[in-house]
Amino acid sequence: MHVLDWLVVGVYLVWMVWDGVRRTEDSDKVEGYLLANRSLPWWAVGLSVMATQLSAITLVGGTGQGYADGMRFVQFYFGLPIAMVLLSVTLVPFFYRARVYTAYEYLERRFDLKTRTLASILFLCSRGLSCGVIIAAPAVILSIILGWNLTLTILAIGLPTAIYTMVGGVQAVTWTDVKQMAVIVVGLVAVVVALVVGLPADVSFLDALHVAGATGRLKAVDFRFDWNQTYTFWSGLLGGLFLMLSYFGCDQSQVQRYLTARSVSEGRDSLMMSAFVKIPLQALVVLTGVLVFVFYLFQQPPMLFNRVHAAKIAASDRAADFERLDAEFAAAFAARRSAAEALAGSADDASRASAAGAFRKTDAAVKEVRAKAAQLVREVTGDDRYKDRTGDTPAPDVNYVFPTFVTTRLPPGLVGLIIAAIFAAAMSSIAAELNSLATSSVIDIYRRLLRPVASDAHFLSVSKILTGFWGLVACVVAVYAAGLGSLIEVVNRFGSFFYGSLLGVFVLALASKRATGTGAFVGLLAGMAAVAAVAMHPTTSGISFLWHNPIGVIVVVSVGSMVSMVTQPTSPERTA
Amino acid sequence: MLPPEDEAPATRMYVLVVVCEVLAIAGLWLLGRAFAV
Repeated sequence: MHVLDWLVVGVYLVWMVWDGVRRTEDSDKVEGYLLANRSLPWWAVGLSVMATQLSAITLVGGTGQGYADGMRFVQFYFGLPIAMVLLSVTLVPFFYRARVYTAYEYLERRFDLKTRTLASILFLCSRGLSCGVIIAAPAVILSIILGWNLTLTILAIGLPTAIYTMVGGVQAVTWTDVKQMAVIVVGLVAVVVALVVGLPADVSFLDALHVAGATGRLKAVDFRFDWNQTYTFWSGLLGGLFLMLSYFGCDQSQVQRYLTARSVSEGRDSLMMSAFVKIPLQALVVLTGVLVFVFYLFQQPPMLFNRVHAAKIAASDRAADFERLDAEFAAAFAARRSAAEALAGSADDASRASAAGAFRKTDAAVKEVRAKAAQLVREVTGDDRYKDRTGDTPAPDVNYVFPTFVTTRLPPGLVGLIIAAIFAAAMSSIAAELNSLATSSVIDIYRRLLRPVASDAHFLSVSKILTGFWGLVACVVAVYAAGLGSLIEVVNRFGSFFYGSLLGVFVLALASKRATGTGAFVGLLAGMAAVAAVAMHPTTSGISFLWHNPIGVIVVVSVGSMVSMVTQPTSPERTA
Repeated sequence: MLPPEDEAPATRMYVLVVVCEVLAIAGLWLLGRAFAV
């Protein structure tokens, strides 16, 4: 990496730590440290909500999806605006009026202690592990692409974040999120400009879109109904609605963002920002990937984006096979480039249709060579994930597309900016998670179960220690997760087991006056068991994980209501 | 919930969110149609 890029990344890291650790003015009390005394403006909270959701994997994986499979990934977010409206009407005012620190605190007021404790333990286990994954995933990619030491990369992402979150609390999280969001958006826009400028002189932006359209990559909306597909209009709108309701309504890492707003109205406005901006922003992320695809139609891409596998095969006894495939790939690419140039130069619809047919044939040939390369990877390295494909790219290679493009094709300075943007996306999510993990540990477990009576200063110290503790846990998990690719999938799946069920408990709390604590508790366990059964049973395991959330809600509400009919509320005043 | 005078602007905002989402999806659908070859 060029010295200018090191400078940009270094300045970014120092800026974030400096900006975070100076936010201590209102953090001398627990409410100031964890909730900023409920004093933050809606726009800062809104940007923090968006930065928390946009992790490095969303940024790198989203552009990779755009490259490999086109814009249909954006449908994943179609349920988000509706979820924001529903939460603004229901849970947000409830949380504000209850003056809670955590979403799970509300469950004790409405139901009982065991329901609250189970919900917070599920959150702590799931988020504690996923925080490690959020650090590990971009660290693995950056270390491979840039040749960095993996452990040092993990520490470069995790340590500064843990330091400023520990010192400055939620104020540090929010105000660094604001800057990190700016770095991400500026970085993305800069890449789009660089991609458009980098097109061949005789290929205009509109020509580029026509070429992308010929491969179906601009088809963003798919109205087919298929339980097994994650990226369709219906999966995104209905399944995605439940996922977003769970994430923004029941996950402390998001709930804590809007609890810091000055009022109910500002809390709702912060969610409205995501409702308006999320789909266009995500469309920009995916479109960037599509433009990377168009760029690589005219400039030869690597056959395998993950260099480690390419290097392993080159060093094995199958090196000759790899070389032969590489030559085949170069020939297929040259034929596709000629066909793409002909398509881009087509003047009318008839010639464009004919050129598109020829182009698709050459594109299929490139895809076929990549499939052979993936098979070779499986045979040499035993990495079974290479049997799956996303569009025309081996699935595990998708996350390497964008960083490869950035580090090999962009000018010095801009490379540093994009790496800083990837760091920003990771750090903004990690900071919010560390902050919420500490909050739930202190409020739901330590203060509620272990040490109910102590001074505010004591709880403040414990909050800071636990923030550091969770930072340490996240870094340790990241080091282990980085070496075990499948662990990342396990952690993501674990979250989907209880997300919908947790939402079901909140639905039960708000919608049913007769629901009891025991009903909610049994319903939550039944919901998780049902989702685990659906996810693991051979006949239903193909169902997209987006549908696990509505299944969880339905089971919790049904079982919870039935159990509530035969059980008594914990105390009369706790009925809604 | 909130007093009625606070609910009216919020309701207008919610309607605007839904309208914008419909427009965004329609725009994305049209993008696919316009450049399909």
